[in-house]
Amino acid sequence: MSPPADFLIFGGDIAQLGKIEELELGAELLKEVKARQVFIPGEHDWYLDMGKKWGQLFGEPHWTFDHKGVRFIGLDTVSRAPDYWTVKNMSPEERMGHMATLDGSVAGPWAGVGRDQLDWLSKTLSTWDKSRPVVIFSHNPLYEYYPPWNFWVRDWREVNDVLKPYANVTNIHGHVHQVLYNEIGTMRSIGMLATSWPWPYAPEGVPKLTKPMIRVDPGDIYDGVGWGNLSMRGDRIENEYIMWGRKEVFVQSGPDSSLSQPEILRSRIADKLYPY
Amino acid sequence: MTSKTTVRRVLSRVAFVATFAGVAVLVGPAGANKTPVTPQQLQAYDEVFMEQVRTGDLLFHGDDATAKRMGVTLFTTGMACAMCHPFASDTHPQAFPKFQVSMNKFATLRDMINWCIEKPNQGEKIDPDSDAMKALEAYIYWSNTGSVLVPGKY
Repeated sequence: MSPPADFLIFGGDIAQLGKIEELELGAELLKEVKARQVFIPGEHDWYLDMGKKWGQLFGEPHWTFDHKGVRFIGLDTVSRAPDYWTVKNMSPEERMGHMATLDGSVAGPWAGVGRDQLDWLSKTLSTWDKSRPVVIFSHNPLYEYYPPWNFWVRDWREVNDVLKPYANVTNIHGHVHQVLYNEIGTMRSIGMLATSWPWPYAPEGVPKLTKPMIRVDPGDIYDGVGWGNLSMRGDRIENEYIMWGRKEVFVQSGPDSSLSQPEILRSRIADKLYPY
Repeated sequence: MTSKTTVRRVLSRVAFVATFAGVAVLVGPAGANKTPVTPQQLQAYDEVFMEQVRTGDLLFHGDDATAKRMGVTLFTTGMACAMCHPFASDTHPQAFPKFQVSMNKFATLRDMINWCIEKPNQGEKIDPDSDAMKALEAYIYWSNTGSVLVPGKY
């Protein structure tokens, strides 16, 4: 890249089913990137061995550092799922399988920041000038978009309470695999593309400030996926989406948007039955 | 024709219709298949449908045991249908049949299901009249209950 990136943030889900070989392969591939690398976990990385291998490879799941006048914070929004496995005697593979099913009901509202981490966040920010920029990386969005797919953190109100005094907060998040933008109070939220496959927009709750992404060609594995180039201009962070499959990222006319086809959907049924 | 005659004719028609409706109510349907449906029958019909929906849900979410039992290979990439279509979103069954750009032909939902199995999922096409296809179709339609029919919409 020119100019070279200051650092690379990987926003979680480097694995699909949390397997050691998946996590190691991800780390191996990223070794080619020479920039400094920081990581936060996704749910797919965590629930086979409860984050053991991920921690060995990538360190602490939450962290903070200051760089060029910005306080950067990485949050762990995945490791505090309510225990849905013990009472059902699930194997680690079964636990991971339910977590890996985006529209499953068994893992429930697993995304959350947690009281302990909220206290840590509060303490971390207490030494920071309230007018200076703060950038928070999290796997899940820090507001409520579509809870059935955990497009939120369940304690997003408490997160917003902690962040409210700070005038310039930007949340960069993954998990949604789509172009997404929102503003709540003084916090801006930017959703990143996935490198795996895109998700459709949820049937409701898409923030009005989002300019939707173009309808994806399912026959092209490089379409609708890619990465983002985040730049700090003055005190404001800007994001350029870079899709591998095409140059046009945003919808230019109604028919190019999947949102032009309204849907009313039901949640799953099969995973509500025995033995789940 | 006087207005009096017209009124009389209208009244006689009303009387005829009323008499006919009265007789129909008193006598009831003639054939056994027209007896009023019972709650037990409704439940049985619903159970047949919901069994298909549950099977389709499992297939759609990549359940190996169900796929094996039905003798189908819906993917070889590790990608189940639901991984791009949570809650069967973005399948738009209400828009079929339509001209499907990716196939360059006028297509049904079953054509589209098979295209997805064969292309992105790199699985094996299934018989359009097979039990697996009917179950997938049942799940996709059931999940989209409430979406408005817009056949032909891009």
